[in-house]
Amino acid sequence: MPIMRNMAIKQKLVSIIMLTCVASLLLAGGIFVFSEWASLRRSMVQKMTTHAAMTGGNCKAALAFEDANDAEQTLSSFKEESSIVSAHIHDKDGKAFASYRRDPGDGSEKGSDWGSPVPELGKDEYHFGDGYLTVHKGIVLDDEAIGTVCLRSDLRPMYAMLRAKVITITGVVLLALLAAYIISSRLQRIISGPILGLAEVAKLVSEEKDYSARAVKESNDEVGLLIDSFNEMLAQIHHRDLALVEANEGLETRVKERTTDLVRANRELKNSVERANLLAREAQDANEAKSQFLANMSHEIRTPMNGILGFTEVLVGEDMDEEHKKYITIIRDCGRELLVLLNDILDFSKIEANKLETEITSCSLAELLNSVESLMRPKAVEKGLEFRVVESPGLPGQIRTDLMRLRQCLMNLVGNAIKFTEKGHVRIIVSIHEENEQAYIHFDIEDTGIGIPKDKLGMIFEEFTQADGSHTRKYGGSGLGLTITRRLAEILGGRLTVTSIEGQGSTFSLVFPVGVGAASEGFLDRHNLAELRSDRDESAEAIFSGQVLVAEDSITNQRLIELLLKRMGLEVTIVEDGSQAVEAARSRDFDMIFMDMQMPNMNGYEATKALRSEGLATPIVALTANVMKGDDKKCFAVGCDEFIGKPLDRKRVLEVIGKYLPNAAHAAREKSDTTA
Amino acid sequence: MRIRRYITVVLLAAAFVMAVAPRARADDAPSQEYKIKAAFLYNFLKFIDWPTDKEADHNEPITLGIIGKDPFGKAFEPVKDKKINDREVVIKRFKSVAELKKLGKEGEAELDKQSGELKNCHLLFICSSEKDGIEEIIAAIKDRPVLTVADTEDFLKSGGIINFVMEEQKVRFEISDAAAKRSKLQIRSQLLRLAKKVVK
Repeated sequence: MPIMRNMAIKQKLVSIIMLTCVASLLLAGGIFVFSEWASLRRSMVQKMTTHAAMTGGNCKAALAFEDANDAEQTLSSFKEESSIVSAHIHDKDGKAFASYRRDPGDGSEKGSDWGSPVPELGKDEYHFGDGYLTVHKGIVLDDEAIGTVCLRSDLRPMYAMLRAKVITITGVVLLALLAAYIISSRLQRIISGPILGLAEVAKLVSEEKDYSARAVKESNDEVGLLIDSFNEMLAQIHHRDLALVEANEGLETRVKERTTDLVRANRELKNSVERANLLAREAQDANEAKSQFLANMSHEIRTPMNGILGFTEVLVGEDMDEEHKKYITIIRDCGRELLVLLNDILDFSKIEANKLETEITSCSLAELLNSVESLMRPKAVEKGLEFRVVESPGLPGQIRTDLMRLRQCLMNLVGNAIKFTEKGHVRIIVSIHEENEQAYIHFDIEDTGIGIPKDKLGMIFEEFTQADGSHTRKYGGSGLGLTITRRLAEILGGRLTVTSIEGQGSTFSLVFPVGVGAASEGFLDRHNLAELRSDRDESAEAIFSGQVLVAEDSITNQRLIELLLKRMGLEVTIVEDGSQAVEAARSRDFDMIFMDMQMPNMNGYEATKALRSEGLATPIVALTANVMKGDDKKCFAVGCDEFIGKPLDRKRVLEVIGKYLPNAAHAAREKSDTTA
Repeated sequence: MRIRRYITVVLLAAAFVMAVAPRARADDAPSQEYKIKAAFLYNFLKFIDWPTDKEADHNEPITLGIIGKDPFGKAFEPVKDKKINDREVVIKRFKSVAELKKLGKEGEAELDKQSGELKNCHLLFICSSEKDGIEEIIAAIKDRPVLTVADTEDFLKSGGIINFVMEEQKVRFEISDAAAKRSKLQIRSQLLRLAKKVVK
């Protein structure tokens, strides 16, 4: 029953009992009332039938002898029987013979006395209706029906009696229900008590997690069984709980142990990290020391190299017999080679130490190609090779890259090409291509040299490697050139690849991105520059006039510079350090000042700074053996106008001086031109 | 002509029928009064208890005797097949005593014989023709359980048991319970109650 579902068990029990009681009492009461009613009717019918029979018997003679008066007299005896409201006798023809009415004026009896249907003669029957019981009884005289008695009885007294009984029974039923309610309310505890107790314990257990609580068993019935099972279950849970707690504790201990282990491991790790950091710092320090060492070494080595190369250069210009001149040339070439090797090793070291820095600027492609060509063409021509720079159309005028490094790459590759080619040509093919919507400039250095075997192609970029071990002996070189070139190309965002057919030649391809915006700055026009360069080449033989101050601490260098400059027609004043240079500059006017940057007492930077702060405008050329990145910037920052690396290259010196001093030879030629 | 003759015959026949028919009916059809009386006679049988020895033989029919000039005619026709207590009712007619006496010796003998039969009757209706010989008839059946009925004045005084009287054109009767008791007949109270007069 859905209504019952939400009831408390007490109410359920009471409800069930009450429902049962109500149902049974109602049934019993109903049956009782019904049977009472039926028996009342039956007894009434019986009584009336008896009355009818008696009346009939008494009226037999009256009927037989047609004495209606006598019959009516007989009927009038019903005055004593209050329930009979009317009595009639019909003769055998169905005609009314005699009649009696309790209250002749009473209209309550329906219709005429004779209106009611007269039953078949002699037939006994009765029927209830309209609040009356009507009984017909045949009058039989000696087996012959001679008439019918018809009695009509008022049922109201019967109903009144029945009503009284119903009221009594209802009262009894209500009393019984009350009693049932009281008894069931008290007795339901027998069943609900233990269940409620069980529920209480279950609630306690679920709310307070107290698994040691137990329900009290009060009986040995199913509820008792339930309580036993519940307690057993609780015991099991309790047991399991304890086991769980134990396991938990074990786990905690283990966690603690692990935590301790972890802390220890952590500490060890921390120590390791600290050690590693320390080592890293040490390594860094060592690396820095190494870099510093390299810088120093480059300086220290370059200085004597300057001397050797400078003076051989001087000697080459001297008049001497051919034999000596040949030796001197060999010494000079060897010195240069040594310098190249030295530079290679330094570069490689820097690359390896990730110390190589690049300076990406917008630079002129024409200038780059010119400088490469001017430097490499003589070498090629010397070997009897054709040398050409092939320019594809659409090349930009400017490219964004590190000019110095790119030039170094190209010089390396072209130098290699010339070195490994005996006859034929060396070409630089410059073109521009688009990849992934980005412009790349290609420098393909093509030669007709010995080529590289296919199986060696992959090796040639590895450091200290040449295609063939015998090459080293045959062609010389450190084997670092290609490695450095490739690394430089990568550092600059480009790549270096090679294709080669052994015995027919190789093509090295340098590919660089052109750089943002570079392509829009016009196209390559090398012709003008080339013109300019040729002019300047001519002036290389020029003689200048003017007074120059040279600050240089190394005596070798003093002599070398003095010799170089004097040959160019200049008056040279030498000082040994920065402070002397400042003093000299204050005391006299010079047309140019050559300032070595590394000097005792006062170095070149400080001296330059001091002079510039005094408002001196004389061009100052920085001389330094430091070819480390940023040196030139430092020089420009303190106020130098030019920067020349050591060892001094005569051409470079000429170029720089030509910018600031009038070329006497040129002037003389112009003079002669005008005079002519 | 012929037609007139037919009409005459028919008319004559009709006149004859009309003249004869009532008389014939008067002979055959009993009067209402005697129909009732006949029914009453039957009904009397039902309310009278004869001495037990008389009733011993149930198979014997009940004998209803009528002495004298029979006034009932066919009045018994409706009731003659009725049985009283499973016993048939036999109607026996006896000759008038006066007429038999007139016959002399022959009549005497028959009278004796008839007197013996009268004793065996259950009910004897004494017709008004015998009103002068009532006492003689009653004497003949004295001490016998015979219910004597008549419709003659002073019948009860003559020792009769039930006598029909007319009252407001209704057939009523008077009873002499004393006479009945003498004849060892038991008259039921219902019947006594209906009697206009009861002689105790």
